[in-house]
Amino acid sequence: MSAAQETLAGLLVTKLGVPAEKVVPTAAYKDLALDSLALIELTMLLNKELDISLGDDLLQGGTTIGETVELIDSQGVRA
Amino acid sequence: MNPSPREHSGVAITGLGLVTAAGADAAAAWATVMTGRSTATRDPELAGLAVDFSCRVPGFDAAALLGPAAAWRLDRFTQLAIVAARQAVTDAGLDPETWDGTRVGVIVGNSLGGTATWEQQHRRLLEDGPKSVSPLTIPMGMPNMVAGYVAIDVGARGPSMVTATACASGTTAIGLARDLLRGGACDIVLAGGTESALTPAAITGLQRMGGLSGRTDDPAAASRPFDAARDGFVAAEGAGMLVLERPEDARARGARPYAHVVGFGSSSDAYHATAPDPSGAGMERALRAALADAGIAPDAVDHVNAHGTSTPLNDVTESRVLRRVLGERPLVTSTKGVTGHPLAAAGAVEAGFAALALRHSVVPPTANLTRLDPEIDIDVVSGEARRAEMEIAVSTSLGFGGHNAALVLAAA
Repeated sequence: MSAAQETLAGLLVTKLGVPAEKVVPTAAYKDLALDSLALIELTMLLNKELDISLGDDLLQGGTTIGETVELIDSQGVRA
Repeated sequence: MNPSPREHSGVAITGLGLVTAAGADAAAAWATVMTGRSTATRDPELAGLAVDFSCRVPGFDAAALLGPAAAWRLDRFTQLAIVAARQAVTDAGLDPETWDGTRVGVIVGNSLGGTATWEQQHRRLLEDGPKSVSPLTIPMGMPNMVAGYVAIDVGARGPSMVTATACASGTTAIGLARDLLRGGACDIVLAGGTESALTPAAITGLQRMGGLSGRTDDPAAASRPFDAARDGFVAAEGAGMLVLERPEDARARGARPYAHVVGFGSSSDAYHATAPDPSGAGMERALRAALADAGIAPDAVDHVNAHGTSTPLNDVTESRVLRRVLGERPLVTSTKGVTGHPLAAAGAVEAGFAALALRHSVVPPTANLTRLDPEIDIDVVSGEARRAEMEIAVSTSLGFGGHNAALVLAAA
């Protein structure tokens, strides 16, 4: 698991209350009951934890966890 | 059985939810209030401030009670109210899965909104810049959101709103709820109040205006309503929610009411921003209006759960009005000696305690009342609870802004 993947999964479960078993690469945020406000909150948390700068509107309801990891990794965070 | 005239014009309290420093449900809160021991303690979150103690709900775990999402998406004043609302609905024996939600209203008193949210996000803005401010700041901080979130939680699709009459807010909410039921707009109303503002800026603001007790060497002795040595109130958090229904509806489904809300009155001092009119004329008008609304003679009142904040000004002014209007007969208590002053929640919490006093035929003692202020000439219960057969209780509330409100409750 990459650092990005680990951090994302950790934030989803511990900060946003998503059940751990639902945190799989193919899961889209809309299926995790995360609305647009929750996604901005998640973006803030990721930016702070990983010292990156994802834009506020990057994560959408249809974005998957796997796609998010790719977006983060493209900013230079590697395992 | 035909409804009595009093019952006919009133509404039944069929469910009660109390989340207070005295206990996180109605039974626990009542048991603590009956001991007459203060719950005020030093508060680590207020460390270093001029007043560093409060009455906080012990061990409140929002994640465990409401789920992890509610724990971070809702400010604590909303969390407390949802828990109290759920308790009240369960206590009333109602099932939100089966009721007609379009006929259910939610009226919640609140004063300061999400002060923890505002203070935390402001700190983030100053320290880390705009990008660090949560997009949930507004929906967490707005006072009205508590009514919205309670409505979401229980599926209440009738009118929902927040009443803001400062420390009278909970009382105002119950009065308004009664009108919605009597006017036919709703069949069930969840009414009450909530506050959680034990945060550095809010507490410092209260301290700077001279409202709070400064008894930092002995917090447990600080809230002492009607006592000669009182020096201010102790800030508290909490929520009280009541399920209200028309008596005939309650009877039809076999509910057992705690009591009936049979009268409501409100008025404004139009005198000063924060100080009560020392003549007590405004409070007197609210109290007399509530009695007239109930059709009850002043000398029929058995018990008063007073506003009794423990401030020098309130308690003497209030006691004079009680004496003037009700005489010397009623057994008066201020449960704020135990609970502290939960601001907008106070009226709802205290209406709940007044209903429990009627149900159990006993008046809880006022904590820390060891020497009655010689200026005060009413029968304040202190030391031990006093048993009495009681038919009629009054709950009074006064708020910054000169808001006065009073409820009359009748035994079920």
